[in-house]
Amino acid sequence: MSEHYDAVVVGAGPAGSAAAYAMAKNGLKVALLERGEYPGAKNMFGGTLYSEAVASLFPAFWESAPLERPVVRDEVWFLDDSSAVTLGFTGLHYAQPPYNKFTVLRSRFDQWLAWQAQQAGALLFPSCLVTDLRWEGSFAAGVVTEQGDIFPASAVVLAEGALALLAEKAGMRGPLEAHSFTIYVRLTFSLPAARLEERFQLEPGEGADLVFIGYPTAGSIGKAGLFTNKDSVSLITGVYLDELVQKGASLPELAWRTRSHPLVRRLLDGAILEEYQAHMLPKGGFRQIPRLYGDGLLVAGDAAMLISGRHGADLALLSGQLAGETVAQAKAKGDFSRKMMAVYAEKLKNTFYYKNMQAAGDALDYYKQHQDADFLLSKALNGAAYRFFAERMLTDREKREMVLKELAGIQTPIKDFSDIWQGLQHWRVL
Amino acid sequence: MTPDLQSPAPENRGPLPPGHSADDAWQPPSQGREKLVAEDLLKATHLRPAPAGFISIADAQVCRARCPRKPCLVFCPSQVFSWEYDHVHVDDQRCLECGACLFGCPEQNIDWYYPPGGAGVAYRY
Repeated sequence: MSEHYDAVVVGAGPAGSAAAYAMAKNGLKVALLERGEYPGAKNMFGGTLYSEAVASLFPAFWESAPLERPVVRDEVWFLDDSSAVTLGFTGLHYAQPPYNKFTVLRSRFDQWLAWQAQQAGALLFPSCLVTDLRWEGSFAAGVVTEQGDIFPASAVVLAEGALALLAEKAGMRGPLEAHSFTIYVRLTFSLPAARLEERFQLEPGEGADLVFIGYPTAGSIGKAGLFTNKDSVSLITGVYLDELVQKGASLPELAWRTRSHPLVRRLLDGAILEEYQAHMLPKGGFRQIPRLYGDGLLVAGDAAMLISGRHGADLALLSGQLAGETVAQAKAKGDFSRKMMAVYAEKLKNTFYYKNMQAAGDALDYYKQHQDADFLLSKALNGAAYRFFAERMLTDREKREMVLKELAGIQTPIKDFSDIWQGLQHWRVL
Repeated sequence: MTPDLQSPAPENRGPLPPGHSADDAWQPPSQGREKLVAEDLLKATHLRPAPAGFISIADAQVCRARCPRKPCLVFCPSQVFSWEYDHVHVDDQRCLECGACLFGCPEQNIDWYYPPGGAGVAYRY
């Protein structure tokens, strides 16, 4: 048996490292356990990280963290076979402090984050797979690794990621099912910075996000997105796992289909594939948030199903921090019981993301019932646009009727501004 | 080390199946083609060898008798599973550790746990 810790944290992703950082900063003795060879070795997202959330823990983090590019341009492309209707915004203010969001490579950023916890005094144990919790009565009193090593502790923070296998073992949640997850694959291609900037119309250092709706995943709810890193570009494609299973679709095939679209292909011309990744996102929403605390036990980040719209990694950071602060309070009072740990859940209930998840409730149900909604909308928009932009020998009235006919041919969920707002939230990737 | 995968543009990947036009919603590919795609993509990923056995089929009879569609052969993003004569063959050295098989197998017939610490995927991006 090794020495006793105030807290052990399972998983050195954003939630785990933030929890370890908050606890170590408060003088607690913390072990941070990571199954990967290094933090981030197993992690993947689109993706971008939101500045305000990160800065709330690490002010001016952009001066030291390994970031790729601050994003100044966001676009949504409704793609059809040979055309795209695009919606976008470019804001150059976002290229300056305090910024808005950054593209980030998780293998680098997660290491930096864990290093912040280490510098505050937490001990990082990489290549360390936890297989069980250690119990003393109803209290979680540490963890057991695959090697049989025991880490005794007064509190355990489960920040183990989407699959949340330990949380399930500990009875914090019931079994999850395929419809609770989206699955993403990510292709990262290297492209020299100067070429990348020219191609995406960026000044040196600026970044862009493009989201592709319709074509990439055809009849399923899903989307694809393209993110500019420093000298590489990441293309993600994802769908709901239950639909992937039901429809017999293959994600690498869908990803390659996206990559080969004539309007996407030209953005990646000459770029060389450097990595293929796959990861799942817990999308069970508010109803599937597990029990968040128990005696000596807290659950944070993806393991706690804390994903709201395109917020995920930032919520992991924020929830990890709340978990860490709660354990620090518990240590100060010498009480790690569930009554004390409940402070974490109380704090969470007042956050913007918990409230958003609560309000979203069943918002996704429409899309689950109309899995081809995006595809049909994309088709209609492109059909109408082809007619609108075509210079024909027609009267204005004839032309208008043609365009309207194209749009009226399908049922879309959009009826008023609030539907458009919901759609915009839904279409943004990650 | 890193393959250049920019070549297989759609026109180089064979004609669409009969009865399909480019306008159609996407249709499941014929078995095999998606395997080729995953094969090529996987070459780019760093996988540290893991002791075999962290993925297994709980009961081979279930795949044979109760699962006519065998979706695991297709939904696994790195095609860990393939059909060999009368059973699902598992190649755990290709696993990207997404965990989809735990939830995607309609018979919950796949046992999966993380590979040992430090083994398996080591993402660089």
